Amino acid sequence: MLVARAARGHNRAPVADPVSAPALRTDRISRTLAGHRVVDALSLDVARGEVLGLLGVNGAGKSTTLRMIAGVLAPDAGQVLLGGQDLYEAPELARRGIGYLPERAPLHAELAVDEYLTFCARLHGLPRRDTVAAVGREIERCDLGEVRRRLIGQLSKGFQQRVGIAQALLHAPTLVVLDEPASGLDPVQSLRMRELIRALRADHAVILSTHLLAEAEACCDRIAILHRGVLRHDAAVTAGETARLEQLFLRIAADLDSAAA
Amino acid sequence: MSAALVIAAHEWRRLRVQAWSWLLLAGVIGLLAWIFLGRLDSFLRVQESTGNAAHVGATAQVAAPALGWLAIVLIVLVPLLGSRSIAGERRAHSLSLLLAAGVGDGAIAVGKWLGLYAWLLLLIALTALLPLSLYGSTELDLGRLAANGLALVLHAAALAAIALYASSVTAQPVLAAALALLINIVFCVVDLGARAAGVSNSLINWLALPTHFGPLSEGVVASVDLVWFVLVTAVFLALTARQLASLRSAD
Repeated sequence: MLVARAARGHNRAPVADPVSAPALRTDRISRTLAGHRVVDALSLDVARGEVLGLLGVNGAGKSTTLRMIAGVLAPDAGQVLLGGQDLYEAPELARRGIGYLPERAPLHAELAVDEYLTFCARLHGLPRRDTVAAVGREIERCDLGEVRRRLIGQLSKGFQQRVGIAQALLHAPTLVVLDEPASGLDPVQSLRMRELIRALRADHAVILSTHLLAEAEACCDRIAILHRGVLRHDAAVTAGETARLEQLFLRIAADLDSAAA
Repeated sequence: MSAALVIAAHEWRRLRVQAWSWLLLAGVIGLLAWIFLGRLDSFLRVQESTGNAAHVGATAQVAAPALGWLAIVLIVLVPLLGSRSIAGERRAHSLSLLLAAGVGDGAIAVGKWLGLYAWLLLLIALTALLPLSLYGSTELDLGRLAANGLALVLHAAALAAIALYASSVTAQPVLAAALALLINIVFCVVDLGARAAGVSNSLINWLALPTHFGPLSEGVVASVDLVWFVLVTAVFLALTARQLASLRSAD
């Protein structure tokens, strides 16, 4: 049943109409790294206003998948479609529709928060006249007001993650890609991060990776489980499903591990 | 192009806020000032002993050598300054910010190069103040000094492109600096064997940096020398952009 669900959406034609097309569609994307198939024929859709949680154990292929979606790593096969347009056909233009927070936030420790965000805004192609407003908006949304003039290297992990999210949102992207956004945060910071991610669905499609089922349940509308680069589960999630997801997660890992043995 | 300028301004700001870059700048200018004053002192002693009140030869004996020493210092300094441009970002995991933004690999390479180059131009301008401080007190050959300045500006452009390429090859800034230094040394000595054998007009001579820097710094501005510096700069910038593109297809 799991495999049947995972096969959903295979052999789909790219949707050319940017209005009806999902914010993100990956069409059988694959990637081999160091001779090892890390992602295998992965097909996913994320609609506008939806938060998709990508779950999996370490080495499941989550980060590689997100890097391909963000345009940082090219797939060996398959397509990444943003609003129906192939990301790798016009990569520079398409990447402006994506906000990406990698597993380790791409920060410059020697810069102050507002200096860094101004640079990011300009890098993402925002006109100079819109930069101040965009930086101010994201500083407020990510609750960075009290640290905006401090050096990033002096901030706590929680604030640094929020700066990382702010840089991903500055150019109002259609799709926000967050790789382990709550990694290394304390419980209070994690709760704030969940609130922030939930709030993002109002303006963006969001795809995030996480190890934590409770976090996925709290923030996500849908959950996709990856194991050894293969999509094993893709379904909507509702509140109070942590225990069921836990069982499912363990079963997927156990099924595949025993099959491999 | 505007993305390249944004990256260049950012690189400039990063160099500006880091103490080590100011220390390097101060150290180099201090060293060159010491050499300059030493040569000036020797020159004045000789002038006094020979009764040359007009100070003939001040440009060749004092002013030009100060700029010549900077060319040698740059061969070591630029690899150090440029090694972190891309390798440091890869090591700090911040390169993904540039790769994920809607910026082409060429724009990233040019922006990084411009930021580093601006810093080197500041160093050249400050060093040029040393020989120019003689202006008014002696007859300076300003044409030769201008050619010398042009040679340094082109030299720095080529070295910055080489350092940037080396920085894109590895994630270790130390290795990047060593690789850039090695490339610089190869360009300096590639025709030593040919010269020792009496060959001075072959392809191997054309490849060597001194073949082009020497005449320029002596005031002979030839298009073949200008083209050599522009070509080296363009080729290494193109290689850097290619290396950045390959980072997207490799892990």
